[in-house]
Amino acid sequence: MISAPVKEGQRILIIDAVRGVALLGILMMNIPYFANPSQYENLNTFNQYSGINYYTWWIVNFFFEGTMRAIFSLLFGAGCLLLLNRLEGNRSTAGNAADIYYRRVLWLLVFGLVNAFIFQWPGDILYIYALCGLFLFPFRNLKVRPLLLLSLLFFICYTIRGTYDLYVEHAMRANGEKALMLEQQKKLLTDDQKADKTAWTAYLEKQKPENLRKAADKKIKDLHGSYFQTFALLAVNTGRGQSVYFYQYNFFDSMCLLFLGMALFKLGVLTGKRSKKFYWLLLFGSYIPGLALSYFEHRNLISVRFDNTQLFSRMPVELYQFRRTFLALGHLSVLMLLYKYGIAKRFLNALAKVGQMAFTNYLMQSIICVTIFYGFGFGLYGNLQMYQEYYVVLCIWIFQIIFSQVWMHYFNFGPFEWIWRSLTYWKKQPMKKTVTTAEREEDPDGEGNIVPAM
Amino acid sequence: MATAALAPVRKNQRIQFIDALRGFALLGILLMNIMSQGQSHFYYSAMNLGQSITGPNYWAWFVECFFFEGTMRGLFSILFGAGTILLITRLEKRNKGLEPADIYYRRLLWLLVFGLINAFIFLWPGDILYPYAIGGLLLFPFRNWKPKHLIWGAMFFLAVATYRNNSDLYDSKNTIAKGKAVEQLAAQKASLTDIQKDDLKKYQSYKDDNTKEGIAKRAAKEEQQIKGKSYAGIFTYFRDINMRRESAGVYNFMLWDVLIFFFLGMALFKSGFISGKSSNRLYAVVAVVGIASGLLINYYEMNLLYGLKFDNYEFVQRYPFDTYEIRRVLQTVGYLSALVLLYKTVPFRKIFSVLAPVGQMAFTNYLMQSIFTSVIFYAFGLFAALQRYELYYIAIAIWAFQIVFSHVWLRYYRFGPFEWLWRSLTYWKRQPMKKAVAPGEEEEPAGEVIPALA
Repeated sequence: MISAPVKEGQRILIIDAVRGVALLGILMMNIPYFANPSQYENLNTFNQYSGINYYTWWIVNFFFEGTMRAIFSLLFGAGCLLLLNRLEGNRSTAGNAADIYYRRVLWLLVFGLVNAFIFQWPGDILYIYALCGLFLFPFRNLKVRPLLLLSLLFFICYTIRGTYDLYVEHAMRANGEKALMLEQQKKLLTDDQKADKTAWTAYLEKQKPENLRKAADKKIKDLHGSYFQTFALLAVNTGRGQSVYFYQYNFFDSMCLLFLGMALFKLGVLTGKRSKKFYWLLLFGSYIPGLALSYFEHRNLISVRFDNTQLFSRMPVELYQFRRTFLALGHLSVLMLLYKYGIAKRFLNALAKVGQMAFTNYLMQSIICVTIFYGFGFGLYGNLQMYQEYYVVLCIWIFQIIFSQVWMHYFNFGPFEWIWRSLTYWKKQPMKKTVTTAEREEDPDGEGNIVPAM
Repeated sequence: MATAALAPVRKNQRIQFIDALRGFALLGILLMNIMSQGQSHFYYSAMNLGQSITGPNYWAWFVECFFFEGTMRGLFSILFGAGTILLITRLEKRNKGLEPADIYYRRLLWLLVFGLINAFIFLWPGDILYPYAIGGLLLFPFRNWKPKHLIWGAMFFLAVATYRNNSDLYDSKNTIAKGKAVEQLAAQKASLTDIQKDDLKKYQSYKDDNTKEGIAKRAAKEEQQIKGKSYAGIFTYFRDINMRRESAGVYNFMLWDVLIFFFLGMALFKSGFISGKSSNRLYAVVAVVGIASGLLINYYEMNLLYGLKFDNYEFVQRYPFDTYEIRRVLQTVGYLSALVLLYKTVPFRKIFSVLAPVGQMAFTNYLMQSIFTSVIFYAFGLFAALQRYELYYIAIAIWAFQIVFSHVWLRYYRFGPFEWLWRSLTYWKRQPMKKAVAPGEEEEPAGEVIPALA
C-alpha cells in the first residue's frame, strides 16, 4: 500500500510516463492527416459504414479523439508551472526566471514554425502552445479556484463558439431549403434568398461522395510534388491555421486545458499525489459522462451521415470540449491507478523515457511521417487504408520507445531538447550523461532534462 | 537653424518631450483614422469618385496620404517600444524579482482586453491596441539587447513585412496574368480544363472587386450596412471585419508592421536618439534624408494611383515593388529627427508643452477618439454624408477638445480616466486618482504613469 508521500523521483516518473502516453497517443490522431486527405476521415467518401475501416474509425474516435491532445495540454500547463517554480526556487535563476521562461517560449514558437513549414506538418501544435504560453506567466501564482474559473471561462467561450458554428450550418440548410421550396412554387427570390440557395446547393454539391473523392484525388496529386511544390501548397493552409483558426478555435481549445492543467498540478492530481480513492472517483466521474458524451457525439455523426448541418437539430449545443476533457481525465486516472498500485512498472518506465524526450519525439513524428508519406519522400500518401495506417503507427511507437530508451541511457536530453535548451540559454549545454543521478537532482536550473515545459 | 538656440535636454524635460511626441502622434493619427470612420473604409487612401476629386477634396487626400499616412502610427509604435523600455527600467528599479515582468505582462493582457473593447464595443475595426498587445507580448526578453542588435531586429521585421507585402502583390499580378491568358483562350472558344476555369473565376472576382467601379460598389455596400443602422447592426457588420483583422490581419501584416517600429523605438530610446543625445548634425541628416526619400517614394506612388483614378486593378499591374513599410520607416524616422531637432531649438518648446498633456493621457485620448467618431458618425448619422475635406473639420474639433480636455483634466488628476482604469486593473487595486496631497510626490510621477502605450 502506498499511502506514504510519493518521493521526488517517482513523481517525475509518473508525469513523464503520462506525457509519453500522450505523445504516442497523439500520433494515432495525427496519422490519418499525415497519410491521407482529410476527406478520407469522412466515411461517406468510400461509403465505409461497415468493415474493418469502420471499426477502426469508431475505436480511434470514440475513445481517443482529442484526448491525447488534451492530456498534452494539461501537461504543458503543469510544465510551465513546474518550470517557473524551479526557476524561482533556485537562487541562481530566480532573478531571470521570466527571461528564461519567455526565451523558451519564443524558441518554441520558432520550432513550431519549423515543424509547420519546414517539416511541413500543418497540424503542428507547438506554435499554438507557444502563443498560449505567452499568456500564462502572470497567472502562475493564482490559487486553484481562480485557475479553475479561468479554465471554465475558456471552456464556455469555446462551447459558445462551437455552438454558434453548429447553428450557422443548421441555418444554412434551413434557409437553403426554404429558398429551394419557394423556387419550386415559382416565387421570385430576393437577393438574400438567392445567396442562401447558392450556398446550400454548393454545400450539397461539395458533399457528394464523388466530389469528395475528386477533392481527395487532387490533394493526393498535390502532395506528390517536389518539396517546394508541397511547401507552397501547405504553407497556405498552415498560414490560415496559425491565424484564423488559432484566433477562433485553437486558442480557446488550448487555454481551457492549460489553466486546468495548472490547477490540477497545484492540487497534486497530475503528480500522483492524491489517494487511490481519489483516482477511482475521478475515473468513474470522468468516464461516465465522457463515454456517454462520446457515444452521443459519434452516434449522431453516423446517423446524420457526416452531414454537419443536421447536428444542431439533434443536439443544440457543442459539447466537444467537455467530452474530450472528461475522457482525457479518465485516461489519466487509469495511468495514475496503474502507478499507484505498482502495476505495469516496466511499461510506465519505458514510457517515461519517451516522455522525457517528448519534444524530440513529437518533432520526429513529423519528420518520419512526412518522409514516409509525402511525394518528396516515399510517397505513400493516399495509398493506405484507414486500418493500415495503424501498422505504421505501431512501427513508429516501437521505434520511439526503443530509441528513447537507448538515447536517454547515454544522454541528458533528447537531441531537440538539447538544441532548445542551448538556444534558450544561448550557450551550448552539456549533453552527455557524465554526472550521477544524485548530482542531476541538483541541476542548477533544475529544469532541463526533467521537465520539458512541453 | 541657429545653433545658439539649441540646448541640451534635461531629464524631466526628456519625459515631457516624449509625452509631447506621443501627443503629436496621437492627434495625427486621427487624420488617417477619420477617413475610415466618417466614410467607407475603402476610401481610406482612395478617393470617393462620387465626390469631386479636385479642389479641397484633393488637398485633403494629398495632405493625408503624402505627409501623414502610416507615419503617425509609426511614431506611435516607436514610442510604444521606447515606453516599454522606460516602463521596465523603472519597474526594475523599484521592484524585486519577477514583479516587473508580472506587472508588464498584466498590463499587456489588459491592453488586449481594451483593444477588444475598442474594436468590438466602440466599433473601431482599425483599433491598434490589440496588435500592440500581441506585439508587446514578444518584447520583454529583448529589453536588454544593445541598440545595434535591436536595429538588426527591426531590419529583420522590415524584410519580412516587405517580403509578405510583395508576395501578396505578386499573387495578385499572377492571378491577373493567368486569368487574362485563360480569357484569351476562352475567346478562341477553346475548351477549358478545371484548373483554367478556377483561374478564370479567381481573376474575374479579383477584377470585380478591384476596378474603380468595383471599389465604389463595395464601398456603397458597406455604407448600406452602416448608414442609419442600429448599434446591433453595425456591431454585427464590424464583428466579422474585426475578427478577420485580429486573426489573418495581425498574422500577415499588422504584427510585422508594429514590430518594426517597436524594435526601432527600443533601439532609438536606448541609444539616446529620442531623448536628444545624438549630435544635431545627425538629426539634420536623418531628417533630410528620411523625409526626402520617403516623400519621393510616396509622390511616385500617389501620382500613379491618382492618374489611374484609384483603380486598384490597374495599379497592381503597374506597381513593380511594394515599398510601403520601407517608405514608412524612412518618413517616420525623418519626422522623429526633425521633431527632436525642433525641440532642441528652444523657442519651439512652447508648442511641445501644449501637446505634452495630450500625450500623457494618450490612452484615454485614443479610446475617446473612437467613442467620439462612433457617436458623431453612427449615432448622429454623419457617416458617408460629408465631403473628404469636411471630415477634417471634425478632426480639428476633436483635436481642440482633446487638447483643452487633457490640460484641464491633468490639472486635477494624476492620470487620464482610462489610464486610471488600466492601472487599477493591472494592480488589481483601486489607484489614487486625485493629484497627490504632498507636493513632493508629484516630482516623479509614478513610473508607470508613462503609459507603455502610445
